[in-house]
Order: sequence, then C-alpha cells, then structure tokens
Amino acid sequence: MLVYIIRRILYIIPLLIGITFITFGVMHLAPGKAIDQITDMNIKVSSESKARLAEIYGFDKPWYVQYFNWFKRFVILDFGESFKDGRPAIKKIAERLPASLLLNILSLILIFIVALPIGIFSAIKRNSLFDKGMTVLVFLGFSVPTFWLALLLMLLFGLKLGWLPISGLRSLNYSEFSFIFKIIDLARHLVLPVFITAFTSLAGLSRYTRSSMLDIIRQDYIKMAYAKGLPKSRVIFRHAVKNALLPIVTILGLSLPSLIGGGFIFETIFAYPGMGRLGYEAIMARDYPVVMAVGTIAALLTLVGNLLADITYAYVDPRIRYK
Amino acid sequence: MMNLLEIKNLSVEYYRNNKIIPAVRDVSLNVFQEETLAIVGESGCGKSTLAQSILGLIFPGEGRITKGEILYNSDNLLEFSEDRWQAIRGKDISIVFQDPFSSLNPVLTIREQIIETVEAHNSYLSKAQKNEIAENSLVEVMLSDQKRILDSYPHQLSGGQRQRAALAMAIVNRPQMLIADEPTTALDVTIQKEILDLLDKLKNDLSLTLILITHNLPLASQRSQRIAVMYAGEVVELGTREQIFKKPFHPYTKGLLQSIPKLNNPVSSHFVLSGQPPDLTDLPVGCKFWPRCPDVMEICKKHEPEEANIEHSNVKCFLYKK
Amino acid sequence: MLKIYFQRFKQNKLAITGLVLILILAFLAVLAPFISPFDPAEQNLAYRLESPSFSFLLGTDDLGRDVLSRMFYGIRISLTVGLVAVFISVIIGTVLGLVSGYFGGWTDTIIMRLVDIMLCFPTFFLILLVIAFLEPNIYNVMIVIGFTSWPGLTRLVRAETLSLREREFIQAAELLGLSRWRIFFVHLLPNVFSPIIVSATLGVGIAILTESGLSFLGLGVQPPTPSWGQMLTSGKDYIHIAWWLSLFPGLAILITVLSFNLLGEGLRDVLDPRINE
Repeated sequence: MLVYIIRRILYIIPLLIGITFITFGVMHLAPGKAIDQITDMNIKVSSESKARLAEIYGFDKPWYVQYFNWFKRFVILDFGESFKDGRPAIKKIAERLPASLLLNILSLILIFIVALPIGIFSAIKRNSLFDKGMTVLVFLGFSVPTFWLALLLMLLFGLKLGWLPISGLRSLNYSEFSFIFKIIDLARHLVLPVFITAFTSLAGLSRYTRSSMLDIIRQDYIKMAYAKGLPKSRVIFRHAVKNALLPIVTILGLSLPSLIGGGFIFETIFAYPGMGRLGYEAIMARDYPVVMAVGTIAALLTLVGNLLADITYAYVDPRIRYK
Repeated sequence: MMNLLEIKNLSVEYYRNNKIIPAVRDVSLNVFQEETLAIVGESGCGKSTLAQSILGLIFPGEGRITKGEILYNSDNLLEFSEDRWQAIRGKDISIVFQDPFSSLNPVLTIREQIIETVEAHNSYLSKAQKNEIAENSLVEVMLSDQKRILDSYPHQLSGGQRQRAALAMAIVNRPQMLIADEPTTALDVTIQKEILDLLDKLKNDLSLTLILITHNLPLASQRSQRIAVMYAGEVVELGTREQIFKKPFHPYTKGLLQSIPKLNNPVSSHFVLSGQPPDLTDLPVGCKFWPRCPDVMEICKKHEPEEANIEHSNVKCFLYKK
Repeated sequence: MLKIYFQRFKQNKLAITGLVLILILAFLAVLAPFISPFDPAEQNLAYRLESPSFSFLLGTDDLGRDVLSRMFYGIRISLTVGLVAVFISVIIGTVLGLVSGYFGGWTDTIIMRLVDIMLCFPTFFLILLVIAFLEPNIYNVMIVIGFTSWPGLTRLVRAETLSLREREFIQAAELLGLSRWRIFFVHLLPNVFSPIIVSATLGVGIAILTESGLSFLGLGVQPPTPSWGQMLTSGKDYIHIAWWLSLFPGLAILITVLSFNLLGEGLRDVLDPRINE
C-alpha cells in the first residue's frame, strides 16, 4: 500500500513537468511580438508589470532559458502580476478558489447521492419503466447544451417564479443577516450553479453505475451469495453495490477536469465569484498572467484530485490495500 | 434406498444474445439419500444449468425453467416462494462453484462471507458463537491457521485455500445435500486430489448427499456410486458406476470411455469421439447425437429415442429399443 | 461481415432514428439558401423582437433578423465544426493509439504520458486558452477542438490494439514475417475500426456542444455568421421579453447532438455485440 502510494506520487512528477511544458508552450503560440502588441494596446498595463512579464518569459532569450526561468517561478507559484490591477495573479486565484471548491465539492456530493441510486436501481430493475425512463433522461442529459439549460432554469426559477436568485453567491444585504439566514442565503444562491455544474456528470455517472452493476450482477460471487440463502436486498447492497462502487471513486476523480472546465461557462453565466469566472474574464481581457495562473492551477487541482481518488481507491479495494 | 431429490421432466432455457438456448431438455433424475451422484458431460451440455436449477439460481433475464418438477423431500421446489427458497439455500442444499477465484467476493473477508451464511439461517446466535462456528468450519475443511485465514481477503489465499473456504461456507450450516460444480477444474493437478479427498471426508463426516458435476469420467467413476451422462441438455445414460464403466450402452458413453488415454495403450485403438459438441441453438432433428454417432441408423435422424431400461441402466438410444 | 452489420443496423431503432435525423439536418443545411424565408443577415429594424407568427415562424431577433432562417444556416456551422473537428481528432487519436499499442516500449510510455498530461487540463479551458491567443473564428474553433479532444480516443485505440496483438491472426502474421507496416495497416487498422466509428460519432455531438459553448462565450464563431451558440448569447439579454430567442437555438443544438448520440449508441450495439446488455 505504502509502496503503491509512493509510486503514485512519484508518477506525478513527469506529469507536472508536462503541464508546465504545455502552459509554457501555449503562451508561445502567440509570438512574443504579439504579446507586446497586446500589452501595448492594453493601457492599464503598467510598464512595470510588462517588465516583469518580460522577465518571467524572457522573450529575448533562447526558449530553454525562458522555460527554465518560467519553471523556477512556477515552483514558487509566481505567475506575475495581473495586467488589470497589478496584484499577483496567484493572490487573485487564492481569493476565488474557496468559492470554486465549494461549488465543485457540493456538485460532487450531489452527483454521488443522485447518480448512484439511479444507476443501481436501473440495473436491478433492468428494462423496467424506471430504467427506460432513466435511459431517455441520460440520453437527453448527454445532449443538452448545459449553458442553455442554465439559461432556461434561470428564466423559470429566477424570473418567472422568483424562487431563486440568479447571480452571485450572496445577496446585497448579506452582512445584515443572522447566521442562519446567511446559510440560507448562500444555499439559495448555490442551488442552480451546483445543479448545472453537476448535470452532465450526473448523466454520465448514473450510466456508468448501471453498466458496472449489470456487469457485477453476472459474477459468480453474486450467484454464490444467493446460493448461501442471503436475501436479495443483502446480496445487492452488500455484495453487488460494494463492488460496483469501487471503480466509481476513480471515475469521480476523472470527472474533475470537466467539473472545473464547466466552471468557465457556468460561473460566468451565474456571475459566480469563482476561479472559472476569473479565468474567463482574464481571457477576455487578455490578462495573460492570470490566464496562465488559472490554467496551471486548474491542472494542478486535477492532478491532486486524481491522486486523492487513486489513493482512496487503493484504500477501499482490499486487493490493493493488502498487496 | 430413499430418494432425497427427484427431478421430473425438467426443461430449462437460457437467453444469450437475444437467442433462446435450450440448456436442459426433459431431464428426469433421482438422487438417493447419502449417495454420490456424478453428472458427466462436455462443457455446454447443460450440467451446470441443471445444478443451478436445483437451487433456484436461474434468474429472470438469464433464463427460465419451462417445465418439470424438482422434488426435495417430496416438496416441489419450483412451487416455492422466494422466502422458502432462501430458507433452503445454504441450509439444506449448498453449492460449490468451479472457480474459487470468481466465486468468492473480492471485497469481503472470508470471515464476513462465512458468518453471513450462518446468520442468514441462524439469526439468534451471538457474535462469539458465530465466530466460533466460522472457525470450526475451517477446521472441518482442514485449513490450519484459521484466525489468519478468516481475516484474509480471497486474493490473499491460494486457489486450494479458496476452494476450501468456499467449501466451509457450503457446509457451515450442516446441509443434507452438497452440489459440487466442477470443484477441481480450476485448480492445479496436485491440489485436485486433496479437494476431492476432502469432499469424500466431508460426505462421510456429515452424511452428505453429494452431486458431483464433472467433465472427467474417470474421476466420476472413482468418486461416485452412480453416474448420469449428459449430452446436449439430456441425460442419455444413467447407471451405477460399475455398469457405466464396464458395460456402457449409449454410443456417447462408449466414446467418452474410449477417448480416455490408457497407460498400457496410449494410442487408443478404437474410435475417439469425433466432431464438435453440438450447437444448442441449432440442434439436429431426431437423436441429438447422431451426427457424431458411429452406430447411426436412419431412424435416429428422424425421431428422438425414448428412455429405455436395460440392466439397471436408463439409456436413450434406438439401439436398445424393445 | 458487412452484411451482418447492415442487417443489425436496420433492426436497431436507435441507430435508424439517429441516422434519419442527421440526414434531415444535412438536407436542411444544404438547402438552407432555398428554404430560408429570409436572408439570415438581413436586418429589419422595423420588425425587432417580433414573436413567432405566420410571417416569422420562429420570430425575429433584436436586429429584426428572421430566427428560422438563421437557424437553417446555423446547421451548416454546427455540422461543419463537428465533422471537421472530429476528423482531426480521429486522425491524431487513431495514429497515436495504434503506434502506442503496437510498438510499445518507450514510444508507448511517451505517448501515454502525453495523454495523461492532456487529460489533466479541463479540455474546455484548454480550448478557451488557445482560442484566446489565436483569433476566435470558425477555422480556429474547428482546429483547436480537434487538436484537444484526441486523448480519450488514443487510450481506446491503444487498448484495442493491445488486445488485438495477442490474437492469433496478428501473431500468425508476425510469424509469417509480414512487415510491421503491412500488419499495421492491413491487419490492425480495419480491426480497430468499430470502436473508432462509435467514438467518432459520439465525438461529433461533443464537438458541437463545445462549439456552441465557445460561441456562447463569444470565443467561437463570430457574428454576423449565424451560429446557434452565438444566437443564444444575443438572445440571453432579451430572455425576459423574447423567450423564443433563447429557446429555439438551444433546442436545435439539443436535437442535433441527440441524433449523433443516438446513432453512436446504436452503432455501438451494431458493431460490438459484446456489450449486448
């Protein structure tokens, strides 16, 4: 187990280096001169931060020197200062990260508690009305442009019914609320973003759970469990579900990039103060230090998420735990 | 001798890739109290399906029993409610599967898997009692170091140990009947004999009635009193082991016997079973064995033979038509 | 073999429904200039934000353009982007997957690490990032989507190749001394076709969704070219007074993506009976 974890952590190193290569490479897609032009056009860019940018990327030096310098700063998470307000990019991210993490973690929880039962029951009641209905829903779920669904839900619950706020994370008079009302206010703001962020993965995971369950129900040890005289409920929940859930830990880890990626659209639509919206705004404003920082941090988060998922998997699966 | 189990005209079909497979066709069979009955046949002849039908393990979606009766102590099991099935399974009748690598749940310890079998039928026992029963069951299947094995997961055990653990689960509730479905096929040759010896010992210690399913005729003749030979979902010959071995009637049984390599005569002089096992979705008209039969007659291609009784054997073949 | 597939295809309701829908869409796309009641770019400020009526079946937008006509032209954009992007990613994914699976060793390690790295980035962000550096237009959108969505397919093709390599006919070909490249193209490629076709069909749907998302954010197809995603953006500002601007383009995306998903899932059943649940 320990060996497995250590190996798994060591395995991250080449990936990390790869990530820095890609972000560095993307930055160079636009030729150095183009960056000059952009920064020239952007009047808010102080000559200081331009100088810093030039220092970080060292456009006049050979690429490997440039890369090495960029890498050195990357290690201490120094991505330069925002063109917009001159504050360090990493600081701006640190401010937004908690809101994004909150959104993503709540979405993961929602995915878990909705998709798993759906998948499990679809498999047990295979070809039933429930299963067929869910299959149709899953198909629609895969095909719906989620940002459009977000618009429709905003229209329905926010504008027509007036049940839910449609933007931001807090009401304007948030600070006047008592503690309980603060929580309620936050929750009301979170309902739509969490649902929308979770939406695509909901469809995917319930489908995955279903096929995973169907696969397991056919295994000998399920027959064996019945043959021992166990009631059906116990066979399903103790023998089948436990086995079906194991790989799902990893799947959740793998769905992290799409959750974070969805943030760039959904946070923007809901004016949610998270990292995704920061990234989008930075892209639209050509605020490169922030853009690169957001990209790198998003990749790092994915990497850490996958690592955690793999370690959890190793822990819950005795076949790896006792190796 | 008393019948413990009597199967009457049982037919079972299986579904695979939107096709219906007649896995068991009109099988009648009786099992005497405390005997060992071997069911022998090539893979795909329906012997495992037959075994699983006895425990009601053919689930909807997988297949179904289309007709027949399975009488256990004179009760027709096929009329049982799910609750009554549960009470029988693992308590009166148990089963051990072929592959101990896939028949044990990989994420539960052996202890959990044995104890849940005890619990299912004796909910009133204390935790300590259940643990003791579990430990004793491992002693009975001759596994030493019981504590360690109880707390192991299946992947931490060898194939032989796993099959013993599976046997422990099967006998822990003192069943009357044990079905062993190819219990040694997945194991190393050296371990096969150990497991078979263990089965014999358990049978004697616990007065078990044993159904031994195998594709290995010599093995069947060493370990059983009577042998049923299955072909394409039917029992084509049923007799005592002496009868089957010394004077087989059905050409298929003869073929099986003659294809056994003998020490003194490694190259079989007679004929070896030719052709492929039949495709159950596309069975021939008439006797199902005729395309491979050396003694085929015209009638075999048109009609199905009835079961004939000859010298204490039951045979389905036109050669012995009265 | 093809005959069997064709038979199974004809019996597969999912696949047939998907295919028919796609054919209708393709038909409408080709005929757009003839069936559109108005010029999709023609502005008529006298008829701004007209609700659906007999003269404007799906209403008009904030610049008085006919929504139905713009929707017809939008099919062209969606289908083109979807098909071209998938074509690019299928080529990259197939080649890398085959090479990785067949040659193994260091080649395999390097390609698979590259895949792992690519999968760390949220694909949508990567696309945003690249588009932001390049100029947002339809060509860049297609190219960037194509160049970022191959890693999944690479894994799939590699896995398939690995299992094929163990099969007898490949080993026999190797024993016979056929050249590696011949084995590669004549024996491997045709056999990894089924999973590629399935994943490519599903990929078209995903690419169309991505394009509409990009256009919605203003980083995709630029106005005045009528793209559904970008129609939704401009409709968003009038959502409380002109619901039709937000409803119809979204429905169109939904139906288009759905038909590719239906066809893809149907093809999976047809081509791969193993997953015959």
